[in-house]
Amino acid sequence: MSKHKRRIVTVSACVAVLLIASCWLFFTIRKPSLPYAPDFHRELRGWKTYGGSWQQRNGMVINASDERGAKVIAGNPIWGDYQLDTDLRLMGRGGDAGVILRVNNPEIGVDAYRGYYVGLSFTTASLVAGIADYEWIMRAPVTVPGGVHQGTWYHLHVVVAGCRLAAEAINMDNGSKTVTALDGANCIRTGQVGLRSMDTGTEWRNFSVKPATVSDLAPLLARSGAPQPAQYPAREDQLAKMQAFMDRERAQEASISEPPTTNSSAPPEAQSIHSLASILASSPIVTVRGAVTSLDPLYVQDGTGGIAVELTHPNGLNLGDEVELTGITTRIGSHLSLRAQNVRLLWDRSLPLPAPISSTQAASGAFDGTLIEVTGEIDSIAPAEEGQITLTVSDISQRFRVVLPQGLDETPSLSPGATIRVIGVCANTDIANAVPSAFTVYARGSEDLLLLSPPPWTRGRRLVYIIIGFGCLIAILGWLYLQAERWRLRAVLEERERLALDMHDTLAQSFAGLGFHLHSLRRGFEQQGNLPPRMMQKLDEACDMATHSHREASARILALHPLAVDKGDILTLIQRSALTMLHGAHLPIRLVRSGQPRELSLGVRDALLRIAREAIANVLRHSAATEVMLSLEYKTRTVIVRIIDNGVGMQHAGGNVGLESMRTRAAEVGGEVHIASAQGSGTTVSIQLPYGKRTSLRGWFRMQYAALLLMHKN
Amino acid sequence: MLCAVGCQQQSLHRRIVIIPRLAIDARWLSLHVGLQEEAERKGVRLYWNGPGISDDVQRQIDLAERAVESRAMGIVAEPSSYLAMNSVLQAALHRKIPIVLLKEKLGFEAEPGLSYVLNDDSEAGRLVAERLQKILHGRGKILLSGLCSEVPGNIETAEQIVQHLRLLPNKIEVAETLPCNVSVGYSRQQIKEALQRHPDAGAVVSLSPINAASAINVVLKIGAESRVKVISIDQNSGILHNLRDGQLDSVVVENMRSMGKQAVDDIVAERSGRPHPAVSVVKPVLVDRDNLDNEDIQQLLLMHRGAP
Repeated sequence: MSKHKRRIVTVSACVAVLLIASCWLFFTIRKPSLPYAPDFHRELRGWKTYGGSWQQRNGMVINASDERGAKVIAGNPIWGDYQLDTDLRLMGRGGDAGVILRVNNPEIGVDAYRGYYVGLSFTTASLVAGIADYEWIMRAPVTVPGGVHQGTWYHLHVVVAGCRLAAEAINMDNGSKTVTALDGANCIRTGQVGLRSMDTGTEWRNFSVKPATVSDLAPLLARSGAPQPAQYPAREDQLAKMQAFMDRERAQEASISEPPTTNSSAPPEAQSIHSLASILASSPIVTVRGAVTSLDPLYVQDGTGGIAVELTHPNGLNLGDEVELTGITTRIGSHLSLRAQNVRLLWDRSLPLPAPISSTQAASGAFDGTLIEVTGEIDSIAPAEEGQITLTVSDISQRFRVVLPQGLDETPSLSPGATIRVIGVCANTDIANAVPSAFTVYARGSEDLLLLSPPPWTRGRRLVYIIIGFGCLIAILGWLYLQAERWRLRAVLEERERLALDMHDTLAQSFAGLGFHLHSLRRGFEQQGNLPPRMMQKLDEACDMATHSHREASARILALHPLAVDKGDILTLIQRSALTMLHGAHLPIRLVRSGQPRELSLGVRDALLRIAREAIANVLRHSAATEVMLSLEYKTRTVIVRIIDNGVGMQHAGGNVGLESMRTRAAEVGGEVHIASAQGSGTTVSIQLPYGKRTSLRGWFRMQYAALLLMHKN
Repeated sequence: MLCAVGCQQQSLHRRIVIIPRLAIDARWLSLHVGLQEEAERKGVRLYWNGPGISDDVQRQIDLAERAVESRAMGIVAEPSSYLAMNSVLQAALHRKIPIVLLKEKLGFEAEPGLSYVLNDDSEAGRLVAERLQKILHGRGKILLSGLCSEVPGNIETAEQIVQHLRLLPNKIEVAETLPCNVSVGYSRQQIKEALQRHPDAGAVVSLSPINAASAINVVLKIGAESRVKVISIDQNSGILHNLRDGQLDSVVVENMRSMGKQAVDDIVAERSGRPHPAVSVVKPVLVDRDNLDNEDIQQLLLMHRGAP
């Protein structure tokens, strides 16, 4: 491999390694390091949600949805041994919630991640610890004394070190403690952390992660006993034994509000939500059943429609809870709501699916209060107020509002002009809406917003970025082209040198030898005097031809030899070329230098020497000069070489092939050749070239433009 | 390279992608066990993921599209809605990705690359009819509850129950057929009102475990547990718990473990050019309190291969 190819490969390999290292550093350095204690009062960066309906409020991270396996992931994938602390509170009557550790490959899905999970299970009234790998297996759960209660804060402390995990849950009301420990057979060594809930909404606060060692496990292992492997629930009979005998149905049906104020002993039979629309101002007590589709504002939906609900007390409801509401309807203008006096939780996990409709259908009022999915383009974004972002969205037919809580830091990047699809409860009669719009969509979280397409590229900053990017691309390509040109020139010069040496060693030597033998032959015949004059004349011609051929070969060798690689003074090199061309003839050559000497690029030196050589050849052939002056002037941006003779001058300073080739050579390196001459007054050839070192982009463009002009002229 | 440091989503390339109707709970965990066993035997890798709620067909479509784009080895799916998933399944077949559909055919004929592993609805009907004959002593009325045309196999199973009841020498008739409802509250209300209309009904046959839970709730609430028996089609963890507690008479359990094994075998056979049946039918089993703890039933209901 040649030296230059090796250089190219080396440079490319270094660039590739640097790029890979930069990417790795970029993605890992961006991630946090231990200890890690995010402030839930502030915007969380780098927290990514997978399902659920996540928000931050009052220093807590909240998942308000019953979705199974909703999780949010944070931290650094290279974290290994650490301890995690957090407080959590279950909002629903069922399911479980907790934390996940050493998480890898998370996706949306129930057990769609690889990592450890530790949580509190309402259903089995226990502390559970297990391993998820797109399936779930756990060690035998440990019963929590007194059970796991909705609305009670628990502190979780989990340590994972090596292939073992130990955890403690503390009931923050009564101080009772529960400990468990897991022996991870298929050890997961590193991964991120996160929060996870199943079938229940949950609140978390005071979250922190610190480095840990095996010794941090010891206090927990001392109380939990030997860590157990994850083997449950594998069989149905195991599951049956594990489950705490608790009548889940009776617990779920317990009333969560004050008793009804009416004297009726039993609530009236449930009626459809749609039928409430016919009720005018004063309504009797009504009962409806439906699933919670939005928490703030609270909406409930059944198979016939949805309705806004006002509760007089904190409800502890989650998205997807199926409830029975008893109360009275209130109507303000066309806005109908239900003021609930009694709420019974019937079931959870009844998350209705949204109805995909057009904006006109939504505006018609037929879907008021129900969960819909609608598409539109963002017109404007109002800054977040009281934790909510308001978008004004429009499509061909309608303009409407979208209100969504400011979720965790993974809200899709929104900007005017983007097309979005949003899921939320449709409210046609939104009395809080000061700005007229066809309807309002109350989304439950950032997960309900899907960015279908970003703003068109022809808009705003995007266009500026594209232009800047394009400009940078051109600059990079130009630089690469310059580098390639330099490498090519160097390769050409080296090839010429090789040819020159070859010719010197073969052709020139052969001609010299031929000339020598012919001259010897001629002397011999001359001494003997027996060669006819005609033959002697032919012999003389042969000797002359050999001599001439030798000179021509020498001249061609000189032309090929890249004198530019000689590091000597440029003026001296030009003088040497001139003396070689003179072949011993007498012509005084005066040298004049001025300015501070500076280094010339290879291409410029080569061009300068060739142009000067051509000019000198013209002087020797045509000018009949008796004196020649060579001047070299170093200026600020250019170098000027002048060849001045006192010969006969030229009638026209241009138009012949030699002069055109001089101009072309000069233009190729961004320079110029000027010829001043008049008949009888001598000739001055001025060669002005840039120094060529680190050709600027501007200089490159100028060169290309000059070359294009020259091509056009020719 | 960038994904290695920044992205964490698993690659589905050359894996068999399993898209159940629901990703958790006993029935689907048994399916997962069967799939894993056969996958290990055949040396293939699986990717298992599905919705958290049983009618989230969009989630199933998203997973199927990802499988198609990643050129998965095959797809095993139990669609919540065959019609809604038709486009993505056709796209998979177009790319020569073999597909095995579970549970029901529902009008799609088997074609190259597409095969079925089905539950034997006729056998399910026969098992229910025989059970009713036993517990009602050959005479009485029943309610057939939770009829859902959208749920694959639901209508077929109901029809088979009715047909087999006619075939048996009994005088058991279906007093009323109740449609399914996404609202558990309404389901309970429907069942309660139906039992009030038919006070002589001796059993409720629920066509889904969630409907069976509603029926159990109503029967307990009205104090009719000695008079009205509840039979469930398909199992979940809660229903099996009810069975142990005596609140449920019996449950027709699909042999999901065998279905999973067959599905993987079909995919591998299709990929290797080996002949395999276009339609395989697997018989269900009736499970009651008497045989629930039998080892063969426990193996049928196995939820994880890591059993001690």
